[in-house]
Amino acid sequence: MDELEFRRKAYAEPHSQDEAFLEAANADSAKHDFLSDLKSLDNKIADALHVSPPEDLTERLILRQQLKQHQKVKRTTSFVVSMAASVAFVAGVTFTMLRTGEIDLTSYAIAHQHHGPEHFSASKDISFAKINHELNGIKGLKGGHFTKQPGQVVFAKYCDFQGIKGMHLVMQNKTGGQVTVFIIPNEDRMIAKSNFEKDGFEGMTFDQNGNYMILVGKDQQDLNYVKKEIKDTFI
Amino acid sequence: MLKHFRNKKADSTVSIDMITKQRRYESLVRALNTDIYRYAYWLCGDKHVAEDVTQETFLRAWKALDSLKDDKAAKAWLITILRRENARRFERKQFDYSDIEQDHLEDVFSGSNEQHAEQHLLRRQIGNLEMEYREPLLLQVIGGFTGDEIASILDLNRNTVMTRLFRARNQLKEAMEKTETRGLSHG
Repeated sequence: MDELEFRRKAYAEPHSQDEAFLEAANADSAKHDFLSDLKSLDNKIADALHVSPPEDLTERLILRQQLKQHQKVKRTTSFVVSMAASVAFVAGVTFTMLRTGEIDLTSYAIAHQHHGPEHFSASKDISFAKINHELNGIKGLKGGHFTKQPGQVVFAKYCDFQGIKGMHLVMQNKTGGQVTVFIIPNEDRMIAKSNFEKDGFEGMTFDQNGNYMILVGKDQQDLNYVKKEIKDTFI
Repeated sequence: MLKHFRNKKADSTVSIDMITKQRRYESLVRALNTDIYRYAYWLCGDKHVAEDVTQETFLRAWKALDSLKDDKAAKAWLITILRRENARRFERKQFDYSDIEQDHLEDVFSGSNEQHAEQHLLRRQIGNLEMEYREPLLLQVIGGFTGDEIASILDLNRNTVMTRLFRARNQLKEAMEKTETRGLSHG
């Protein structure tokens, strides 16, 4: 290692553990002293560079990060809350739209027909006064009621047409044919075909004093008979 | 129900991750805040600015902590962030801190006794060093990095780094000797 190389190395890396460098320093006392000088300068440089940080710097660094983190969590939480609110809002709107969507009365009527028994017991004869009492409980009917007995009624219960309360009657003519009658308050969103046929059932829909009448039965003649009865007795 | 359970489990994994990250961050702060602060101080020459830059550096480090794979590389990683933060500071406002630093150095860390006189002088001289000579010296003395590591942090080749280290010490030595002889001649 020549003189120049040694000096350059000593300035650049006085604490170098490079073997050739250390050997060179040990072999020559002038080099050794030169290196010692530089090492001592380097120690002074190190002392000079070692300024003290503020005492509580560690705590402040951690605190600052935790405050940031806290804000972030809060932001995330409020984001989640607002997301949840949006979802709830959309769900609410969807639900309302479902409730206010068009209602196809005829398919509901058929579905009701399927759920009920095939044939109601013929022994009952429910009085029109009793039916009127029940009809009173349906606000949307606007006071629609029977003025006299519309033939034999073997079944009378409330029913639900997608949130709309209606009346479910089963009437029987003299030959034993049964016809289901749904009396439903008129609402704009309802659609109903005036005549329909499905799954072996015949049906008809007509308006009686602003209320829907849906008749479902097996026989067209029975339907016509019941229709006439209702036309005569329901106002 | 199952879904609920799964969510809960995922939540707790997330919070365990958060706790691990928090501990890792705190260890990093405790182990390296002094070195980072010192480096920042000698980079910008002002006590308060140094603290701001150190805060920003550690905050960025927290955000990017997942990208630090090897904890042994933490110091070099933090210094890289610090250098970027310091550069950003100059982008934000063009302000020459090197004017302040000369006056400031004497105020902030000066002791009253004789023994420290030489150190103040040396600090002043270090503050006078050009940044291109000062930084490799900081990395070597404060950071304890080898020539190769310094070269990689500063994106220079190793020979350039060694030359700059040589010049940095050479300048300091000459400056100190000059003041010494001046002192002697006065004495």
